[in-house]
Amino acid sequence: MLRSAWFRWIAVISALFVVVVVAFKFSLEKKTTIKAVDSCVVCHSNIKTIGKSHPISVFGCATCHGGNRYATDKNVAHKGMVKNPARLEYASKYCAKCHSDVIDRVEKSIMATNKGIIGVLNKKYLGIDSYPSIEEIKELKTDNLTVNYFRKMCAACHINQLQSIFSKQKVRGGGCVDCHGAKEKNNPHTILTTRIPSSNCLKCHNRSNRIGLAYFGQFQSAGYGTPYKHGEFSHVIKGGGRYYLKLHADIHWQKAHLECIDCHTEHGIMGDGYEHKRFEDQVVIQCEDCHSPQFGKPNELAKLLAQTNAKIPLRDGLEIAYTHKDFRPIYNLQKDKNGKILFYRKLDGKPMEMKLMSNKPYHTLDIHKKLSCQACHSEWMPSCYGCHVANFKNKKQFDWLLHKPTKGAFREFSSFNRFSHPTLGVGWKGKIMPFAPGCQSFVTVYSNGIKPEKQFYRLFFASWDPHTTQLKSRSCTDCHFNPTTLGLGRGSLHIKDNKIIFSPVYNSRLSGLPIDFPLDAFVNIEGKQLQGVSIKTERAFNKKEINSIVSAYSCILCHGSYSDKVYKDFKKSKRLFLEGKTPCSK
Amino acid sequence: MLKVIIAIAFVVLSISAYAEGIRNCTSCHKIEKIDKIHNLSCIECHVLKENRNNVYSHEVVIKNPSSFEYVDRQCARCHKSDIERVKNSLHGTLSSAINITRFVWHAQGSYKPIYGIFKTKHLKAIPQPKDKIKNPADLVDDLLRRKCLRCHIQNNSFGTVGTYRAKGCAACHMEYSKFGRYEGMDAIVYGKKGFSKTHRFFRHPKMSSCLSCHNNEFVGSDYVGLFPQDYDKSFRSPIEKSGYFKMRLYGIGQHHLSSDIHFKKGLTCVDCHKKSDVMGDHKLYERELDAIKISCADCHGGYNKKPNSRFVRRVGDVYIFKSVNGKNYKVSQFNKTLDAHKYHKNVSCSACHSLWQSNHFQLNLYLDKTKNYAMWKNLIYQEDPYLEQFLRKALKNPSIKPTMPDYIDNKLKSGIWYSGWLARRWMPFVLVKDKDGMYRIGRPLFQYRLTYKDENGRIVFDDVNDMAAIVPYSPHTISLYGKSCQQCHNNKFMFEKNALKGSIEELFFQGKVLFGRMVDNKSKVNTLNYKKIRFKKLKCIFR
Repeated sequence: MLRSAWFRWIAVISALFVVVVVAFKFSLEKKTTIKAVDSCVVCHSNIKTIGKSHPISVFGCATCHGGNRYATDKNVAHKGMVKNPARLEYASKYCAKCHSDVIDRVEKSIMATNKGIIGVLNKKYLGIDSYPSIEEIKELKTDNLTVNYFRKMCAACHINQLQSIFSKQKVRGGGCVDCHGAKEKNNPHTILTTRIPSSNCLKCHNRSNRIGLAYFGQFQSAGYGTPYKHGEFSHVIKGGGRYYLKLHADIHWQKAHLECIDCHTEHGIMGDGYEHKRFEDQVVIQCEDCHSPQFGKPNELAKLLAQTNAKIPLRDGLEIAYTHKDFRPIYNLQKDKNGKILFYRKLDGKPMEMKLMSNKPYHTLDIHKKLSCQACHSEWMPSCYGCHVANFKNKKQFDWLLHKPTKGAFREFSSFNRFSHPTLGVGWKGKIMPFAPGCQSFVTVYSNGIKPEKQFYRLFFASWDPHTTQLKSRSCTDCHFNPTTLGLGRGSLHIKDNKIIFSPVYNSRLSGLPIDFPLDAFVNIEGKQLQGVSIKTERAFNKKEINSIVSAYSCILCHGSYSDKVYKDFKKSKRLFLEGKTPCSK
Repeated sequence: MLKVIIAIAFVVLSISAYAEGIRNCTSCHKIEKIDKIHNLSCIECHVLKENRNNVYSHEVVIKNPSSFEYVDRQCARCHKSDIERVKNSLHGTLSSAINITRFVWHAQGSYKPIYGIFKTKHLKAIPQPKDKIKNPADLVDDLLRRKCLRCHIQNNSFGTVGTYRAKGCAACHMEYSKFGRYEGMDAIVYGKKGFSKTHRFFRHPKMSSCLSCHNNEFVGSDYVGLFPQDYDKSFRSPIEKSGYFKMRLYGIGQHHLSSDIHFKKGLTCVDCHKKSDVMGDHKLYERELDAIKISCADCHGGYNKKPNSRFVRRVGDVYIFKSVNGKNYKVSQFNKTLDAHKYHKNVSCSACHSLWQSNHFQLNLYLDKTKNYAMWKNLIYQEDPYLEQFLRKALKNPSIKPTMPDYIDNKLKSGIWYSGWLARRWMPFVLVKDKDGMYRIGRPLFQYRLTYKDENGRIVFDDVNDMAAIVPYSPHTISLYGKSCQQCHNNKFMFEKNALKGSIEELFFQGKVLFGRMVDNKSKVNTLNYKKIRFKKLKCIFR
C-alpha cells in the first residue's frame, strides 16, 4: 500500500518534471525564432526560410554551410564556408550528419554515376562490356571516343553537375538540391523539400526519346515550331530551341495529375546502396505494385517518409503497399481496415481511389501472359531514327566534366523522327516490351579537313516503358497485322502462297546509309535480327513468333473480343481448328 | 607609217572577221545539232527576223527562242497548234493551282477555272496583289505569285540542284543537268550555268525536266522514291563517305523510299503521260486528275476494258508495251478473279497499289515584312532556292530589306513568305470518295495556316486556320502488292476519329474535302463478307 503511494508520488513528480521541461524547451524554441542562432543573418537577413524540415532557428546556417557562425565580418565569417553543401562531395560532410544513409546510396546510384549511359556507349562504340562511373572517367587522361562523347554531349545532365555553368533558366546539378531544391519567390535561398515537383525531373529527362516529355504528352517535333502564334514559334519545349507536338499524355497525368515521384519511390531514384549498371536494375516500381498491390504494416522507413512528406496521413492500423521488387514501402498507397484502398498524391496529399487490375479475360487468359503491361497499354512511342554523329577530333567543344573547352567536338543529325504504336520485342525480363531505336549511330570521325578519318555505324534497338499509358489498350490488329509492331518496319504485309511477305518502304542504301535493310527494321521477315541490343537477353521476335502472331490474326478477324470462347482454351481451339472440327475450318 | 597601216589593217580585218564570225556562229560555237528535224541555221532560231541583217553583236541573239515571248514568232510557223494547246493547258495556265488555292483561301466562290497565269481566251490573268490587306484572302494572290507560281513553264529564275530548267517549250523539251551547267561540245559555253545540258531538243521530255517542278510534296519525285526531309538543320543527313552531307535535291535533303515499280523497270514519266495529258487538249480543267487521260487500264486492262492499242500492242496472248527508249515490255494483265479485285470495283488502282503516300500536314505560312531573320537561322532550307540564298545573306547582314520576287512580273516585292509543316509522313492516309464514285487516296493540299506581320511589326493575322483542303490523288508509288487490307479496313484516320481526339493526329486529315467526301463509315467496309474472304487467305498460314 505504502509502496504504491510512493510510486504514485514519483509518477506525479516525474510527469510534472516532463511537463516543465517540455514547456521550457518550447518557450526557448519560441524565443530562438525571434533571435537567430547564427550571426550570418545579420547580413543575410533576406533569407527567411529554407523549408520546413530544416528551420533556420534550429539549424542556423553554419551547420550546413560551415564558416564561422559567430563572426560578423564577411571575410572571417566566410572562411571555410561552402556555398552549396548539397554537392555530393560536401554532402557527405554536412548533410550526412543526419542523412548519412541516403548520401551513401545516392553516391552509388545511377543518377550520380551515369554508369548506364557510359556503359552503353562503351558497348556500342568500343564493343567492350565496361560500365565506369562519372568519377572514374573524370580521372581518365586518355580520352577514347566513348568518354569524349559522354563528356561533350551527355555529361551536362548529372546530379552533381556545377550549377554555376548554366544560364539562370536551365540550372541543373548541385547534388541533393538538383532534385530536392525548389525556388520560391522573393527568397534567395533554395527551399529543401521531399515533395519534388516534376519540373525538377524534367530538367534532365526531356530529350527526344526520353520519358519526361512523353508522360506529359509532348513529342519532340521536327523543329518547325508550328503553328506560329503571335508571330513566334509555339509549342516550345521548356529550355527553348526545341518544339513539341501535342499527343495524348499518360493516363496517370491526364486523369490524376500524378507527378513523377508519385510512382517513383525513393529507392528507385536514390538507389539501394548497390552500384547498378543500368537504370532498369535500380528502378523499383512496376505497374503491378499499385494495380495489384501487396500490403503490409508500415515499416519505419514508411513512417519516416510520410512524416517528411507531411501531407500524407499515415494513421495507425492502416496497411501500406510494398513493391514486388525488393519489398520497398509505397507509403502513399494505403489500405484501411475496411479494405478500402486509397492512393495519395505526394505533392498535395490528395487521396484518390486506386483502380485495381481487373479480372477480365484480357488480363487472365494465358494467350497474352508473356506481355508486359506496357506492350498493350502504351499508346505511342517516340522514336528517333538515325543519329548521324560528326566527331571533329581537332575542334574544341565544352567539356561538361572539366568545365572548359577541350579537343574533340561532336555534332548530331537525325534522319527522321516518328511517334507511333510501339514496336514490340522480347525485353530483358523475358516479357514482350515496347522497343525503339536506341540509338542508331552513324559516326564520322574527322581529323584534318573534310576527308573523314573513319566512318562506322552501330545500330541498336532498346526496350523501355514509353510512359504513354492509356486505359484503353491498342487494338488486336495493331499488333497482329502491323509490320511496324512486329519490328519489320514501315511497309505492308501480305499473304502469298501460304507465306507472309513484307514490302518495306524505306530504302536505306539509296538514302545514303551504309546498310542493306530499312532503317526502321529491327528484324526481317525471315526472323533475322538486323539491329543490335545493348542488353544481351533482349531480342526481336524470331520467325516462329512472327508467324504465330500474324497467323492469330486470322482468328481475330471474326473473334474480335477476349471474351470470345475460342480464347478460353486457345490450344484446344487451335487443335480443333486444325483437325477441321470448328465451323470455320470445315 | 608602215606600222600604222599594218595596225589599221589588222583592226579592220579582225572587225570584219568578227562580223563574219557572228554570221557563222559555228566558227566559235562548235555546238551540237539541235536534232534531226530542226535543220535550221543558228540565226533562224536565235535571231528575230528584223535583226537578221545586222547581226554584229550578241545583243540581238536570243538565248531561248522557245520562251513564250518569242515562241509565237520563232516556232509558230510549224507548231502553231501545239503552242496554242500548251498555252491553254494546265501547264501553261496553272489554273488548277491558282483557282483551287484562291477558293480554299475564300478569295473566290468556286474552284472553277477563272484565273490563269496569263490572260487567255477563257481565263483572266491572276490579279495583282492587293495593297490594302484586310482579310486573309487579300494575301492569296501575293502567296501564289511569290511562292507557288515559281514552278510554271515561263519561269526559271532561282534554281537549285535538280530544278534548273528553261522557259517555254524548252522547259520540257530540253534537258538540264543537275547543276544547271552546259556539258556539250561547245568549248566556249562548257561548264557555264544557265544553259541546258546539251543543245538538244528531245521529242520525249527527259524525267529530269518533269522533276524540276514535280518534286517534294507533289506527285513526281515520289515515282522515283524521293521523300523530302524536314527543314530543320539538325535533319541534314546522312554524312557520306566524302565527309559531306548527302547532296540536297530540289532544295532539301531527300529520303529514298521504295520507288514505283514502273520506274524500277525503266519507264519514265512520258511513257504514260502523253501529249494530251501534258500539253492539254484545248479544254479547261478544274484539276490535274481530270486533265490526265491515261489510266492503268490503258495498259493493264480493266474490269470491262481491253488495253488501249495506242499504248500496247497485242502479240498472240501477250500485250507488249514499247517505251520511248525503245524497250519492249510484256504487260501483265489485270486479273478480275482475284479477291482483291473482285470486290473493289470502285476503288482506284493506286489506292491499294501505292505502297506509301507523300503527306505533308499543315502548311504554316508566315508573311513577314520586318527584318526578323534570326528566327529562321535553323530553317533556311525551305525548299525555296531564293529564300535559301536570301537567308544566307540576311543572316550575315541583317540590315538588308526583306524582299522576295514575284515570279509573274519578276519584280522584287517587300516581305518574305516563310513556311513550316506540322509533320511530314509517308504512311498515314485516308480514302476519299471522288465525285466519279471512285475511292482514292486523299491528301492535304494544303492545310494552310497564315500569319502576317506588316512593316511596322504589327501582327495583322495571327494563325488564321480556316483554309484547309483534302483532295483525292493518285500516289505514284505503285508496287506489286501495295497496301494490305487492314490498312484501309482498320484505318484509324477514317474510322477511329474519337480515339485521336486531343492528339495532334486529329489534325492530320482535317479540312474540307474537295471533289468528293471523306470515307468514314466503318460498317460498310468491315462487312462479314470481308472477314470471310480475308479469313480464307489468312487461314493457310495458321499452323
